[in-house]
Amino acid sequence: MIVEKIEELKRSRIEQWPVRSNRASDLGHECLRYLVLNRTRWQEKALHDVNLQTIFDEGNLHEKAVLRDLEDAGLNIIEQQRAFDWPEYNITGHIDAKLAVNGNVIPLEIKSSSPFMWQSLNTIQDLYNGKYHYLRKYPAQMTCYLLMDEKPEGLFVFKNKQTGALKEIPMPLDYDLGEKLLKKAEEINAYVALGTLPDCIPYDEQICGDCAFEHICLPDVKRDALEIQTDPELEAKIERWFELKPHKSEYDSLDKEVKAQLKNQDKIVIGDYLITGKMVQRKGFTVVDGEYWKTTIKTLE
Amino acid sequence: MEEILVKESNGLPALLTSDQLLHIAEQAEARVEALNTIKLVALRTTNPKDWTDHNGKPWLQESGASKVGRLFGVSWTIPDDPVYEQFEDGHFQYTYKAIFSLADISIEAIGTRQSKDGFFNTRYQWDPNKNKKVPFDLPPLEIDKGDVKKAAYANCVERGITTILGIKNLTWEEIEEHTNIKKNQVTSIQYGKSTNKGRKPSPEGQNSFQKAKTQKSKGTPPPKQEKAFVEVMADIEKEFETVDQLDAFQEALRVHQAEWDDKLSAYTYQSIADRDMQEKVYNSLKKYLKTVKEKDKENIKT
Repeated sequence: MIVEKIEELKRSRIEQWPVRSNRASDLGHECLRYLVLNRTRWQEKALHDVNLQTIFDEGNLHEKAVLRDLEDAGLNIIEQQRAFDWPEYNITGHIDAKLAVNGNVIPLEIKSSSPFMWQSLNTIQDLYNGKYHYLRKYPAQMTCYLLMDEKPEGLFVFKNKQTGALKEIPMPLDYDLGEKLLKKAEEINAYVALGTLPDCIPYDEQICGDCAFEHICLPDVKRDALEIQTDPELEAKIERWFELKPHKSEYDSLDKEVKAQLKNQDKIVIGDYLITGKMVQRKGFTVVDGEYWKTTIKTLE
Repeated sequence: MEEILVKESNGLPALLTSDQLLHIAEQAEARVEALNTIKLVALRTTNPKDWTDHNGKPWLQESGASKVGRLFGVSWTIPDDPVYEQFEDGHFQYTYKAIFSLADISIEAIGTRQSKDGFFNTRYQWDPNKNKKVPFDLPPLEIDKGDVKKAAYANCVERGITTILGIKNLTWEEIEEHTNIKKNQVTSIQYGKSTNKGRKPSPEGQNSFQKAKTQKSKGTPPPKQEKAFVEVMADIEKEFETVDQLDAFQEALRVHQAEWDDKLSAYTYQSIADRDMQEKVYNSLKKYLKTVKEKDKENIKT
């Protein structure tokens, strides 16, 4: 009963607003057709579901909590949720906050992520080359703020949703990206003014698969047919591979832990075990560019 | 080489060698095996949230169909914009038509949704007299067109994927045998299967169908097609059930101003009193059935 009530509340928060400008948070979207549809046919955009609304709500909670922590820690947080507007390119947005430090004011963008994602994000390049397209939109969002606020650098603060740990990733103003974004904004504005649409991008599972305009865009969905093989011997090997996999992971993790504890120990005995160690010189080498086949095995469920 | 005499029929060659027969049998066996493998792999990709129970039959929803479609590499193309139809009562309908393909097989599928569907137009408000929330219908103008359009698209995708992979008409036994999904874990939807039981047609519903029944009792044998409307509809409903198209049957009822029965969670044909409307629903259902049966035949040939 409680869950249903909460779901009802979340559902009531799912809203649709007119889109009259190019939003900084969206301008990095890789599909120009999406961006034009978002301006011209926003009413027909499929509303997101309760699950996604819950994720958005969680994000807002984390953002507020991070800002509160930063303030409690004595940092000077100013201009929270300040709105930006760049009429020439019809770009708008609002920054989470700004950090005033040593006479500088730095735009701040707070993001929360899963533990796995949080672990994988360490430099701004990890966002430029992000595995998911929403990650690749972040540098574009910050670039818009930096251009509109005429600031040389911004700061991302990432929060691990599981542990609460924070990580900061600075981002210097990227003029090349800025140029591209302004050109893109001009293109969108031109399509909107002419009432036309750019062509579909080649079908991309990640971008098109969950697109809220899929039913209007009508892209040709092109996929390679799955091959089903029958090889009982190989199947048995894969089954065994799966049985052993957790043990290998446990071994690797334990190996790392034990070796770290035994570092610099020449010769010791622990219980029934004799442990010896020595420094070994390693010859450096450079891995030449090349390619390799990456195989991923997972269960169907 | 041993030769087997085969009786000539339908223009087939009179003689087939045993090798040829073996080859055909092997191919058939391989095809059955392939279909079973597809079914098994498809089932294991889904979870309970991907399924609903429609009148005791498992129904793979769009979420599940999309997952399965991605895995198997089902492609599709939608050559034209969806067809938009506006009805006299202000309600509207979207219809998508798409060509689905997998390897060298292609099929056509149609997906339709209407604003009249309870999913889009039923909302609840607090009734202080009854001390509970009661449903009310949203006016057609208030219904989000984007939602209906998107749902029609989803319906088309779901139908296309399940048809091309041959994973329609599954049973709960098959699903429970090959997965951890149980019937009691999924949402159940009951259509008006028993709508003709214990319910009298409204007095306004007296028409040639009913009259024909009265004539019969007086000893004048009526022409075969002149059954009571509810009897005819009960037969048609059975046919729709046989071809796994009960949702289409319900959609037709909705379009033709049938009333929604909360207890049955379904539109009931007994509530269609208007003679013209009865004829319209009857004709459109028959036409639809004919199309579905023809399509099934084509698919079998493919």
